[in-house]
Amino acid sequence: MYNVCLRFSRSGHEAEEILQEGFIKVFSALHQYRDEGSFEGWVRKIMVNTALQRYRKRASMHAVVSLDLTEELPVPEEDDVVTRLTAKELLGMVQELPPAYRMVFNLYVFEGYQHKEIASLLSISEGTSKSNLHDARRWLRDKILREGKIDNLKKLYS
Amino acid sequence: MKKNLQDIDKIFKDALDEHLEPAPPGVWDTINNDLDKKQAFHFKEKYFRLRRLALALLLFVFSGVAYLLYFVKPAKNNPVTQNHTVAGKNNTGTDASSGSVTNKETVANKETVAGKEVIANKVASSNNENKTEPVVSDAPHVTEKPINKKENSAADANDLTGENTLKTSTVAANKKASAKINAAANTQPDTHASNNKLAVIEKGKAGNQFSIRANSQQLASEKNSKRKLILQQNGAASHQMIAANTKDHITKGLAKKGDHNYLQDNQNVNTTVSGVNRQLVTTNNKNSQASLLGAYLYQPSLLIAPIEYATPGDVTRIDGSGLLSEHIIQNDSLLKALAALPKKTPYRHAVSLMAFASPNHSFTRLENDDLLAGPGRNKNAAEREEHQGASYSAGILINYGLTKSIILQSGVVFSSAKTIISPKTIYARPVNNGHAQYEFNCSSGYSYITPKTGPSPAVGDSIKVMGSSSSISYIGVPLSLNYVWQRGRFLLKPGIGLSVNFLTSGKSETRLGSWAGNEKETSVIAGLKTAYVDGSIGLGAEWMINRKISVGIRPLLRMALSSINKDTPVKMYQNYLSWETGIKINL
Repeated sequence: MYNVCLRFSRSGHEAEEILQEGFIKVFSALHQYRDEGSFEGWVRKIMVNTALQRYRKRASMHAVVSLDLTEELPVPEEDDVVTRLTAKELLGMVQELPPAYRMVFNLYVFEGYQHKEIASLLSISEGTSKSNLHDARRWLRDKILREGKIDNLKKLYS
Repeated sequence: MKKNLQDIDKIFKDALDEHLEPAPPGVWDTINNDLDKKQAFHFKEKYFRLRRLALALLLFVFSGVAYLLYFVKPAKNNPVTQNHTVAGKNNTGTDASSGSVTNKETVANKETVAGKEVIANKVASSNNENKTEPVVSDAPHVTEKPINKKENSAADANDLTGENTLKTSTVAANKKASAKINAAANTQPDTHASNNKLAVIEKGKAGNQFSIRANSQQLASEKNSKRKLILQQNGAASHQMIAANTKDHITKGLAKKGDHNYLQDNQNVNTTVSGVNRQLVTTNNKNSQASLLGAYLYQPSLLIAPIEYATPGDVTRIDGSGLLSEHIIQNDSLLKALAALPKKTPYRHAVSLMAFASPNHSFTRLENDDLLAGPGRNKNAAEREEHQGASYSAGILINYGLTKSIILQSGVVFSSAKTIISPKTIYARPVNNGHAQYEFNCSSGYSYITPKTGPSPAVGDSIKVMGSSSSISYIGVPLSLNYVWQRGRFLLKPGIGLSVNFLTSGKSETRLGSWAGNEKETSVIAGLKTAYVDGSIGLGAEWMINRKISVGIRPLLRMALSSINKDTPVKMYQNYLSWETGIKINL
């Protein structure tokens, strides 16, 4: 569950807070579990809801991010850019996503929600959800490419 | 690669789904502390809730006791009531209990006298019949004070009441004879009726200064005055007249003195009654705003009429028609009897013993424990798996009559309830002694089972329970208040109360499906509280066979106010609907 919280948060510290809050809810609402579906899935849902609740609370505090995604970065010929990146680095990239993108990306990619559901959960329109997902993907791809270039430079000067 | 980068979702999902990063160790401690705080807060809230409930109950009980002690008392002797009792009818227009005169009654009184001849007319008529001349009054005329319309109306209505007052119609025969009652000078007698005692002022008695004078002619001329008069004469030899004070005087006196009534005679009357017993009875009801002045002048076979004054300045009334025929006091002994009416004996607290037995319809209310409830161990699971079995109660109750209509009831009640539990699988868990035992959970608690046959269970082993039941017994001490409503031999007793129930036994019987066949195990249920409290409300019906013995039935609803168990995933509140049938013996 800690990994779920990490994906939805910006840092390890924030993930810990979500985890604590989520587990308090789990223990408090344990009697509401009705033996329907897996227990792990029920706990995971509570964690995601806790993260969303936290996001909604702080929505007004999130800075409006304008990403410059107009420039198409060239895709490197080497195909080992991705493979060279560790899971931790990829997780770091997700955490670096602007909160709105991060929420949509996590809900869509990892939790399997549809845009309609995401729009309902985040109180946004379906179009905004799709747009955010698209922007998040591009942002991550550019990030990966940049990481690849840096790696190449590192190789060059090493 | 390009294709790979286009599928960015898959890249991240594959990488991060398999990535497991352990949570920092401090996180679990923090969660643990937070849970403790939450639990402490939860218990604190519960404690305050219970404390508020206890305070409310305490206040209720104190209020009830205070009410019983200070307000529910046997009615004291009331002279007005006594007078009416002696008279046999309540026809004075004054409410015996409140001492007030209603407008309706006043109107009725007016109607009674309306259209009837005033005394003067009647006297004149009687005089004509007896061929005698009316006696000219030598009494000085009383100057009438101006009165308001209301008083006038009242005075008119009540003045010198009509025919029945003079029904004896022997006034004329004795017209010339003068009767003079001169108990004293014109000072006002204080009858000190404020003690609600009947005050009797006898003629000539020292200290009682009272003048009663009457003059029929003067009375006739003062038709519109506010004078109160009762005139009664018989044809033999007696004349009686009370020329009471004007209403103004009396009402002023009442208003000024409050608790005392004054009857003052300002008139000179040349009719003297002699050789007869005369007594004036004045009463006052201290407890009411209204005052009642009843003047009785009597002698054997004579008629006595009361003069009543309700609220000062409001109603003045001479009961003429009805009362005259009813308020006949034959002799002195009757008046003495009136004064010496038996005082109400104090209420004797009735005590009775009741033995009963009842079949119960038991039902429960289940609540999940916030911390202990979990999958398979919550109220939903308990409701699915369990249903209530046979239940009964029996006991002995003592009834103590606080008043005639309020009964305090207490005693000892034994109650037992059985719960049938559906087959299920139970698992072995480590217990305090270090061994593993099968833990059997039910809504009332839990028990540990060790099969007599087969190997000892290891932690995690399971066994099938083919069927089981739990039986819980309590001895309760109820305390209830019942109101008694009686019609002949039939008594209806609605009541409300509380009961503290002490656990006497809690056992579970399980049939284990093992390789050795069905094996029956009996074990003690853990997690039960030693006592719980329930509230009850019931409606008893009794039939008195004789003065000593009654039989009765009482449907009683007992609702648990506290759970019967603790430290269990499910809290259970045991409720009953009892049909108590029993016999009562008055001690």
